[in-house]
Amino acid sequence: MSARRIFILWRHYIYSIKRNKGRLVDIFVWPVLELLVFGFTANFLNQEIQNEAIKLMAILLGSLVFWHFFAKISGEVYQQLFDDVLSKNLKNIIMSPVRVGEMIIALIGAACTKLVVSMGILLFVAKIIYGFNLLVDWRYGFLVLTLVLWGVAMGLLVSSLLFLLGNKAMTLAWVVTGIVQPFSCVFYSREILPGIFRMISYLVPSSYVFEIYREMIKTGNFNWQLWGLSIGLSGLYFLLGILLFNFFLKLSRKTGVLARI
Amino acid sequence: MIIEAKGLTKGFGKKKVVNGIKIQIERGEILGLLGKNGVGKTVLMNILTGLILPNKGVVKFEGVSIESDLQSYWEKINWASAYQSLQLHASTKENMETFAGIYGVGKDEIDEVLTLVEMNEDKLKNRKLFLLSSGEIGRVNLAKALLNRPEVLFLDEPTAFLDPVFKKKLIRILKKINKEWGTTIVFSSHQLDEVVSLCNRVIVLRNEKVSYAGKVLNNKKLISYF
Repeated sequence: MSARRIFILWRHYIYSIKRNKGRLVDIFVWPVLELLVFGFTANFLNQEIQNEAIKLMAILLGSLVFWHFFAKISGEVYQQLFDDVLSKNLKNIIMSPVRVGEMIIALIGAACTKLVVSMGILLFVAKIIYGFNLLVDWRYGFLVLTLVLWGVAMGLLVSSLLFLLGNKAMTLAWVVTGIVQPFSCVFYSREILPGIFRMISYLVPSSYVFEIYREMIKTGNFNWQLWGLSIGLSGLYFLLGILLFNFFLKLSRKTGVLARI
Repeated sequence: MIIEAKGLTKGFGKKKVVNGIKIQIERGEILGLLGKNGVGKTVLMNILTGLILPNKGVVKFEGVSIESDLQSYWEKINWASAYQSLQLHASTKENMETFAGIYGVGKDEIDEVLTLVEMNEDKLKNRKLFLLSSGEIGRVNLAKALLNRPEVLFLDEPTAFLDPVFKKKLIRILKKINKEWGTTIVFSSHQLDEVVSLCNRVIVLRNEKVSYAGKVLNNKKLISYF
């Protein structure tokens, strides 16, 4: 492992937003716009229902912000890799002294850096416009930890598909967070889901996070047992992500997919 | 001998592209790789660079299989292809800084290689790659491939998008680095004139095999082996 190479790659991935203005919109502007829509919707519903106990604002905005922790980091991990594929630059990086572990650390490090800035802006806007502050309870940090680990794992799993399917994986990647969202029960309880969907949702770490969050809003209690389950599951997916990234990269040398990327 | 490959066989699905190929590359030589379109030149080069694995056979660098430590092999060689690029949204300078950092070389080396490929003017250095012409991107690719002063330089149709003036200059640059740095060069091209003027030795591929390996012949004779 070389700290110099990790730093150089981290900087390379961070620069992707400086160089490409479209990516700036994707990371910073889009989440804020979504926050505005959900915030005003929650305001409207609160006025209509006139029932403070429902705490719609907290549930809708909080869930949306939490969801972005997962969606942004998973998207960033694979998007950084895809940026190099689209430039036909990935082979230059792979056929260099860079080791796979260094690449993975740099991908995760750069994605986390962008997440901190992106979520900082989102939290700031939520506080200024809606007076909604997610930083009031330190226990939320544990929920964020699960979502970041699960997001990184998902990013690595999607990235590994690139080495299995080639450029076709890029089309598939866009829908992955879309597929995960219904099973994450972001805005509704798990009980709403029909049988098979509910079974699948038990395998999705984010579903526990949103369950814990809603319970916190209603009762103030943090369900540590569910959190343990969610972080354990995320850890497993993270290990699986690293293993598959390595495995499919090696496999792509055998199948020739790497030469066609 | 710097590179030795034996029994190289590679196929995709049922189609074999190269079959039982043996290649020996001497240190300091410039080897031309020739053959019709689709004959397997790029596949062979991808195997020799370690980008893809053969179904059968082995590639050795200085007598040791490249698979035993691929990363250290990739520290010593480099490659460029007309069909590849660096990061398009970054400038030439930013791209060079990234790869200089990866290879552990400094600003002097960046200036040296950019000067060699005539991309050292500020306006060219600071321009994002997607604003450069294909030929200029090819020159930046070549500069990247020279950054680590490779022991072996693999070039896959490097002249494909170059203008005639720079094509001639490229031949001079390659001869210069071969002489001054001692870099071994493996060069694939469809331009026989380039191969004749640059290479010491050629390999021609036909029907999955090597149809000719030896000294450079005149165009007519070379074509007869296609």
